[in-house]
Amino acid sequence: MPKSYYELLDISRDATAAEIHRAYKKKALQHHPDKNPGQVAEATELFKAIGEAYLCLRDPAKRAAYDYDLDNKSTWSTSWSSPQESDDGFTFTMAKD
Amino acid sequence: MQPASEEKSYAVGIDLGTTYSCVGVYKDGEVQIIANDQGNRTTPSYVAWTEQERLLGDAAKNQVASNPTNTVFDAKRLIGRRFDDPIVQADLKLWPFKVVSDGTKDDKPLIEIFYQGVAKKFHPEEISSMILTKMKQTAEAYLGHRVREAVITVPAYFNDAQRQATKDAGEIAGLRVLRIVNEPTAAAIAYGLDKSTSAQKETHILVFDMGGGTFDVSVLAIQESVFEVKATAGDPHLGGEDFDNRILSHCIADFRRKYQSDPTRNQRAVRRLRTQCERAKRLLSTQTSVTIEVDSLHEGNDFSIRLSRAKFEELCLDYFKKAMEPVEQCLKDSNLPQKAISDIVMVGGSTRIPKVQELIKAFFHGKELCKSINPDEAVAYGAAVQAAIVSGHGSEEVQNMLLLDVAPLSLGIETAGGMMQVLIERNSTVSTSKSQDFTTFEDYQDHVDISVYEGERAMVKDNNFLGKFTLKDIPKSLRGVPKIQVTFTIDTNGILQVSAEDAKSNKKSEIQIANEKGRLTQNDIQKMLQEAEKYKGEDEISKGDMLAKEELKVYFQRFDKGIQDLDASKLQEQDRERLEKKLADAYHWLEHDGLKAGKPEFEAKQKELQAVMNTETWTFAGHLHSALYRNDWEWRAALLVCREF
Repeated sequence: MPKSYYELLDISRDATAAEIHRAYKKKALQHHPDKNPGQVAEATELFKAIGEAYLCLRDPAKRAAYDYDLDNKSTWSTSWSSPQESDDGFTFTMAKD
Repeated sequence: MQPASEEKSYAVGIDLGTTYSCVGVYKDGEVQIIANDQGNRTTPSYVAWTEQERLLGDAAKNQVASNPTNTVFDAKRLIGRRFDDPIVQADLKLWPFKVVSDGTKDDKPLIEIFYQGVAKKFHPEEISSMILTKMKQTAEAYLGHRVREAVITVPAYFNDAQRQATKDAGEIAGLRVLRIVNEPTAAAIAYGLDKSTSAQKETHILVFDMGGGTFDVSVLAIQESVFEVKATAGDPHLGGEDFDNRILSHCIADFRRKYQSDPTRNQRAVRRLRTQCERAKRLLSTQTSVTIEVDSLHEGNDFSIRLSRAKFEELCLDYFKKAMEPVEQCLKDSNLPQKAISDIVMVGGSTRIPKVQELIKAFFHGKELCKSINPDEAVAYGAAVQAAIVSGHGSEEVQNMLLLDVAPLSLGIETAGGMMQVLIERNSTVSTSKSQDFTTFEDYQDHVDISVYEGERAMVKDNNFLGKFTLKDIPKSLRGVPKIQVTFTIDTNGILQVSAEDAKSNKKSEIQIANEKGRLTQNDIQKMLQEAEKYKGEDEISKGDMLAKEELKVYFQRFDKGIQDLDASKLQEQDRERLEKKLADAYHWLEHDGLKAGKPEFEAKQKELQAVMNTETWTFAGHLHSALYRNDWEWRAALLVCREF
């Protein structure tokens, strides 16, 4: 089970928008690939995960949907796919040729 | 170069502009903007080919009026675009140099010039690489060390293909491109370092960056040493050159009216007039009217017109007003009210235009504009700081800085019905990646085509096509069963990579998008790199060749004169004939074989003639011989001695 967005940013479930923002910047500074020249690949992955967490939590609607999923232990979290589209992952069909 | 120099190498920041470029380096705890060999801190983004050699920068721009078809500029307006792009087609009409399609399905534009009697074609990336080479040399001359790494800036609103192409240009110039940085972001760093960066409170600034060819607006949040781009917007084809063109059209219309003749087909005339229009535009930023004058512009007619600032503003007003749209868009995207912006930072030469300043000031209800940073150098300054951060050469203050930039356009794929499914929204912080699962549309479908687009419209046909790839050999099953995960990744340069994976077979397929869209392949780049190296060598060799050739010509002339100056009593008729024949042969050789010859051949030829003289028995041969190597004064004296015999 991957870390939740709150765990990634190291904040509590009731963090305010300002706290989220501050936490994101702190984490970004810490994990940005430029600041970790020895381990660029790992840092990049972590940085992307932090970015995704921030992108979701800073938007009240997305955050509400995410909180709902978190409470109801839905199965979305097997991939990076974003929580607001949590309908089995198959969002729509692919155009043929 | 000494071994010590080999080891030490600097990373520089290069602002590769449409009309001018600038290079800076972070050294001894501060940024230094480096002046070129002409003493200028910005270098024209010009490349020219004369009969003998290739010229770069100021040297190329200075001779443009006499050599318009072989002087190339504006490569940035071509880079990463297709030949059939309407913007390219419109620009074509204004350029004195020739641009053709490469004739492939990619429809890449090629710039065609004539050099030493042969037509040569260059990709825009190659032209840009030559300018980058010039900037690299400028930095090397200043530092006394090799420069191998660089941060290069691009307009924030450049798309994926344009970024890729710029990176390729860097590689062709023999530079490792550490990072592609957005111009307004680089300017914001210059601003942020100028102000105290230790402010605890978050401040928001708007960067208004209008240069020679492109226009960007970015809103940034700066807190302590973190620079976070909130939103960016712009127009990759709006800038000072467009204003020059408006003045130019105005002048041409006036000329037509006065003289009933059309100068537009006269490339030299247009170029001379354009230079004066650019000059007039600059002057109108500080004075209220100016006279544009060109003597004997076309068919012997002098041209002169008075242009007021008001008239200039009228000619360009639609452009100026258009520039306010991205400002509005950018504020909207960043979710900030106007009053949240604490500073408006003006960057790029075109922000000197009073009307542009007036409009943006009015937009922000009379707020004063920040003009504390140098509009021509701020971008290179920021790029130099970023180069120090990424390469780890900077001071502690710089090392603590962090730049969080965004992708300017939404990226997604085509789905059923030609709809655009966005995976990465515009203004997402880079680097970022996003995956989404898709499935098949028909029973037993064994492959899927994935078409990638960028843009903000709902239908893909209205967006910009980036590339297409196919995921093959999907295990056969009923429709809707396979699970295909498509992943978009944007790296810190803003460059996109797309991959698709079938969950069951683990079959993976991926593309670096711009490969598909007319991007140069790694092979192409290698070839161009070698070509560029050869050119560099050629430039040096050709200098030596030219000197040897010139020396030989002078030798011929003096030889000829020496023979002519001697009367029959001093030189027997048969000797004269033999010498004249030798000389005529040598002239013939110079005009034919001499075109391809190099220094050794020229020197050999000179020796050959010397040998002819040495075998002669006439007493004055020695005088004549030595005279050939002296200056004119000695030469005449020697001739006098000859005559006395």
